[in-house]
Amino acid sequence: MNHHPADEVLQSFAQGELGDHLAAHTARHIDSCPRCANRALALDPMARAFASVDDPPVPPSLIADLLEAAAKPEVAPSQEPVSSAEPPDARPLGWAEIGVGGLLLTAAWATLWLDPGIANLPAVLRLGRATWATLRALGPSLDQVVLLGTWTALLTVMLVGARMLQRDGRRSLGGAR
Amino acid sequence: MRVHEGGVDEDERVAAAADGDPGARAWLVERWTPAIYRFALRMVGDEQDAHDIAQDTMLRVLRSLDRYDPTRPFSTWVFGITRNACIDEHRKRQHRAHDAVSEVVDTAPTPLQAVSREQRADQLHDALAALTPMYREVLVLYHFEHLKYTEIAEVLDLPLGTVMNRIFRARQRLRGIYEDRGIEP
Repeated sequence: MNHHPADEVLQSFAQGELGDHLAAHTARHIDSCPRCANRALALDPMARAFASVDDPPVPPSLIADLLEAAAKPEVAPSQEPVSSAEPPDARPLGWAEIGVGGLLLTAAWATLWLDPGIANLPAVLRLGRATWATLRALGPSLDQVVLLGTWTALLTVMLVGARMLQRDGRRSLGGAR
Repeated sequence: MRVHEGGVDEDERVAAAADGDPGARAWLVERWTPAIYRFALRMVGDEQDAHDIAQDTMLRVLRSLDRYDPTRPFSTWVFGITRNACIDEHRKRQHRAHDAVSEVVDTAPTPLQAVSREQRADQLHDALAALTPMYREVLVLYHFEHLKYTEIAEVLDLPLGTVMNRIFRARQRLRGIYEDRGIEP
């Protein structure tokens, strides 16, 4: 958008009435055009409320303590890894990711349970540790953990149940023969 | 006024701070701590928690400067880290089953004809506290921290259209709260 949007467009923009595409275009224009940014703000009644608020004071001790800490060599880059549970670009897990994660976990646990060749204590412990490390790294909220656990448990029970029914069916057929 | 424009000067200082230059590191602390503290305070609403978040965030910024991608604005990186710290604080509060926000929501201030600047600030902060963090953060980043829409999209790691939608809904809800309480913006 090279030209300045009309007042009507900015009015619709401020009221959220533009479609996603046009709203995104207008937003990009506003980002690069202080004049239109000010016009859009003038059309937003809530902008006045924000404009009348002063910034809260920052505790002087906070900056003083940080300046002192910044001068110490142990706060230099790479001296301490950023916690894997809180990566800098972390974001809350989406529900779709929780669903996919549940399916993968189910597959892993069901395989372990159903295959007598690998179902032993060390393998269970390894998978348990891997599950825990993954959860820590992704940092889901408590309700997401509950949902993921329920989802995984239900699917695992269904898979194991289906497999047991299949075995019983084979035994019955073998006995009949 | 845009206060987080970045620019060559900031890029150079960030690079110098990443190399361990004490002056550049001090400059980063003085320049960014107030913005981090303000954002945290407006998100969590408690001075002590905001103080702790600002301290932890600034130290994390200093320690992980070598992981900063200079092709992205420094402001979006810093606010992204601060936002994560606020989310963690919010989760901790949920676990503690504190419900301070609902107390704010349930209060019903009487309509005021003429209010002082301080009262207007209190009204706005109360109304912001009644919003969910998802809506509060976009308004704080845009109106208080003066980030651009595209920068907010980068901080939240969301498409611009989604961010615009969220901002509009946040404004609508804020306006609704003002109307319910009989307050003029």
